[in-house]
Amino acid sequence: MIAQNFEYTVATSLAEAVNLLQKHGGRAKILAGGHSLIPMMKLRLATPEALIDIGRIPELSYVRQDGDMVRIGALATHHVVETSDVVMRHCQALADGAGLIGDIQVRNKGTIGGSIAHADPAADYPASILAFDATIVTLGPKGERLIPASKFFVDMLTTALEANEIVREIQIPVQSGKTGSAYLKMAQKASGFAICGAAAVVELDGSGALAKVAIGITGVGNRAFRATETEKALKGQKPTTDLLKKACEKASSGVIALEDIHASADYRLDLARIFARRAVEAAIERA
Amino acid sequence: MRVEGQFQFEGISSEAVWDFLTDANRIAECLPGCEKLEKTGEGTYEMQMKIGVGAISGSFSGGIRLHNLQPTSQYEMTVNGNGAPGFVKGEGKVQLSPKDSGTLLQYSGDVSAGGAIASVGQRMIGGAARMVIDQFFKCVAGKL
Repeated sequence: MIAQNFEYTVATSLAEAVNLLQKHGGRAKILAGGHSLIPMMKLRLATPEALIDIGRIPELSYVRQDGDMVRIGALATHHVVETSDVVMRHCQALADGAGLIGDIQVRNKGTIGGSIAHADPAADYPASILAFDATIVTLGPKGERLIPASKFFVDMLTTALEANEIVREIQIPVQSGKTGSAYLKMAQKASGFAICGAAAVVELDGSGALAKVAIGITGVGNRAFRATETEKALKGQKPTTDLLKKACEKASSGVIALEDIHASADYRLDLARIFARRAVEAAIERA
Repeated sequence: MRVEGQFQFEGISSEAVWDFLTDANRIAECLPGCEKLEKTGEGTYEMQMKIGVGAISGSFSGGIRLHNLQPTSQYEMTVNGNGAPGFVKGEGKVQLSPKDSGTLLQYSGDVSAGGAIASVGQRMIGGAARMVIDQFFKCVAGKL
């Protein structure tokens, strides 16, 4: 199908894009890589009156370390994230996730900012973004806003972004000590979307106990979530096989799961328990 | 797609909840994106609504039928809608029971869809339905 008619404007700066968003009063969409928005427009599931292309704004596709912070520009493509030395050194789970998105064409065009702003319940990034306690920097008419990851993903396709705000940067604190992280997923074969994806970030103390453990799960519920009960059961403990298994039994407690022809709700909840454990094990392995 | 859930109306009697949920004008006040809701017969309504979940949105026109009404305790509901993005159908049961000092509403049903929505959005239909239902009941509770 062909998209409904729309106006197309190339923004030369984020501030200009914010102004254009305001001008259209919620009926325009920001175009970054276009790998979620364009397919939806072609199916006429999304019918914005205008597209504001931010894809040509220079210098928004950086990945760099700035003291104890990794900063990722909103327009960094999945391929850039996947192959960045900084990301691989400090937040490997994010690189794992980026490398598992769609196919190489998607990874060359799709952007991290676009993906998280779209907030597909089966997107890969949100699991790691939550587990790393990242901060989302946005730009709106009133200036910049820092949104903690825990407040950013509100519901299915719904974030804490206001209608006239744009994601500018993702900030991830550099982990200190003996740390490791990993992201693993079970993908839907045709689309590559996560039926379940789990990211784990761990820090081991001198005795080999888990000084810190954070687990983010995507693909299972309306939005990605932290497996807080599992984290509580693991914190401060030595990660034995038995303990990991037992703690991860609680990885999806209280979650209302999605279901479709590929996976029932119960199956997704079960995958969450299994992938949480595997992700923690893989993160420990890397620590 | 099975959709079920519950909602507690604090400090509101089941009579009040019942009256609201069976009054077309009042339903229209709370149905997200509702542009038109008209009573066309006993328990049947015609509606037009614009449903939006994030970047996805579409206008639907269709009907709602309430049947097997057992005043203040339960009724069944059939919903269907057609629009550019495809069609949606839903069938479900709503039960009201007094709980604590308020009313507990429990709903369960099946939602299905066809067309473009189903081809790309099937995995999201259940979750999107829950979002709309939840918004609706929150709004009802706020108005009672």
